[in-house]
Amino acid sequence: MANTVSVKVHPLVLFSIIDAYERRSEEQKRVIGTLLGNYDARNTIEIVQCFSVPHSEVEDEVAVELDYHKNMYDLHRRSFPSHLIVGWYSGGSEISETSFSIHDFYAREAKNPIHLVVDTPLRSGKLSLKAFICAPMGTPRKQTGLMFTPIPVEIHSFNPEHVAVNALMKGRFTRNRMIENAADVTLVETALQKMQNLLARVVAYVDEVLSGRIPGDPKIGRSLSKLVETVPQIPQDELETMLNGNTNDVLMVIYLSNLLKTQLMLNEKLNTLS
Amino acid sequence: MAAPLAPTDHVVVDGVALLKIVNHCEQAQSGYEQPQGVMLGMVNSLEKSLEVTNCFPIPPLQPQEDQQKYEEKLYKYQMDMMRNYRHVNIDSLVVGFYQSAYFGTFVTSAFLESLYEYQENVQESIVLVYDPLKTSQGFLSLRAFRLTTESFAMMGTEDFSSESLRDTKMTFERLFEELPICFRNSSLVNGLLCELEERNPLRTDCHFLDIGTSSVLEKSVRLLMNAGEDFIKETNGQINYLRQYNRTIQMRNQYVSRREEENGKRKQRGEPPLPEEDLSRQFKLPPAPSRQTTLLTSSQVTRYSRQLNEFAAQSLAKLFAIQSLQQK
Repeated sequence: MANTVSVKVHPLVLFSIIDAYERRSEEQKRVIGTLLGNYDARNTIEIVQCFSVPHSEVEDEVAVELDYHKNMYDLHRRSFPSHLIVGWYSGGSEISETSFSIHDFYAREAKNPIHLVVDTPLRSGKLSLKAFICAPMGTPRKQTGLMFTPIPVEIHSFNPEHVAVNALMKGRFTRNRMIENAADVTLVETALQKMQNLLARVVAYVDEVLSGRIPGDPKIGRSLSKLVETVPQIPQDELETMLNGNTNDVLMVIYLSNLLKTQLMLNEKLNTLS
Repeated sequence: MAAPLAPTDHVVVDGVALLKIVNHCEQAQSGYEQPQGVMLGMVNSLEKSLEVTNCFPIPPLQPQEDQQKYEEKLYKYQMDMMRNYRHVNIDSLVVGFYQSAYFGTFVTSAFLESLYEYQENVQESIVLVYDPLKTSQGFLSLRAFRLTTESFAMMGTEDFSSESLRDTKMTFERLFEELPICFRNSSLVNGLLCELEERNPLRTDCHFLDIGTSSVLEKSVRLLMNAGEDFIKETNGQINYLRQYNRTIQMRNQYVSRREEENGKRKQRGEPPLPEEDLSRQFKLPPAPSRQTTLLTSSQVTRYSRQLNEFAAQSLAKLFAIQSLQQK
């Protein structure tokens, strides 16, 4: 067996797959598309983007529009020249006979294509995603075949992508799934509250251990002591001077910017008057 | 085309479009231009909203390419992309464009012109401005703008002189109007989000609570200074123009009065008067500078200061929180 290949998927890919699945035409039961990304060192494949490719399935025959695929890939490369085809995805059904022929086609484009299956019709009760690569199997000198073997999948995102996904997560339980763009100050407030909750949980845990209700776990104890150690020990007045200095800087900048703003508004008023 | 703008008063952005914008701006190579792209979607007149459902990036201008060929290729690229997207049932109505702007620097004349073009085609077009630096600090920064009716009319006439500004009572504040944004996901995507939450539950973002404000402050102040200097340059240009204009008018009046005198004297003496000369050629009036740049610069400066205020508000909040903690 080759070294274990693992896959890192960006959330955008999953979003696009679901979007494509939702937009499929009436007769199609599943969607197929190309995965684009990079080959990382250490046998990890990073899937960064994808696009859907129209296809038609009649019983056991499948026809994928190859021109479309080629066209889209070329167009895509104009904006992202470093992306390569790393595999294909299918949303909406399990692996079937037809998957092999499609996989064959992609094997011509990429070295060892990944097949990503997203369980969009929620057959297993949750939206699971699995990745496979084709491995040869069978007995030598007799019949050999190919088998889809699963490989570990990890969800990885860029920093700003993570921020965006977090912002979207807030709409999970609202009625119409809409999320308003909150002002900065409210975000700070929510973050502080979250931090407060976490601290409360930790304190409750420590209390329980001290009163003997639950046995203490040395691993947690060690990480807690590490946590307390990372709080920097700065004498009180030094800290105050630092904080005051920062506050003063910020206030001064606010004052200056407001001054500029008023100046400009005055200017405009004069212009429209004269 | 000064018809009242269509009744859309907010923007609904789909999760897919948002993530595509974020990813593109993250991966774009830093070239001459900021990453830009086209947005597709539809207008929902029932809910009075403009929905953005998908987008695609525009490839940047390579340094060796010339402008003409680039524009042709770009047009073909856009047509191809839209055709392909229509093939897979993605909306094919162009509802605007998105642009990334570091620290909120985006008010330039190129920006205005693009927005005008898009708005000419589809009245409700908007531009989404995305700030990648602010987002990496933890605050998702996406704003939607549209030209107001007045600025739209003004761009149409391309007349930015002081008189027209005075007539339409146009101030830099009325260049753009900002629209509130909502994000929306479908139910299946909601399921995906729950799944993602399960997989990565502990990755909290403590970027929010970072008190290191000096670098951001420094940058913003520097940008503010530069924009302020630009503005001063513009005003000086205006003043010079006025001075020159007055001087030319004065010289012309002097010349005319001298000629009258001459003519009067000659009439007394009975000689024919001097021929009328074409004065406009002798005393050329300096061309009035366009006030467009002033508008743009003032708008940009106000934007910077507003941004700075917001940033300052949240950093003050953090500082006060720390202070109260320390007192314990």
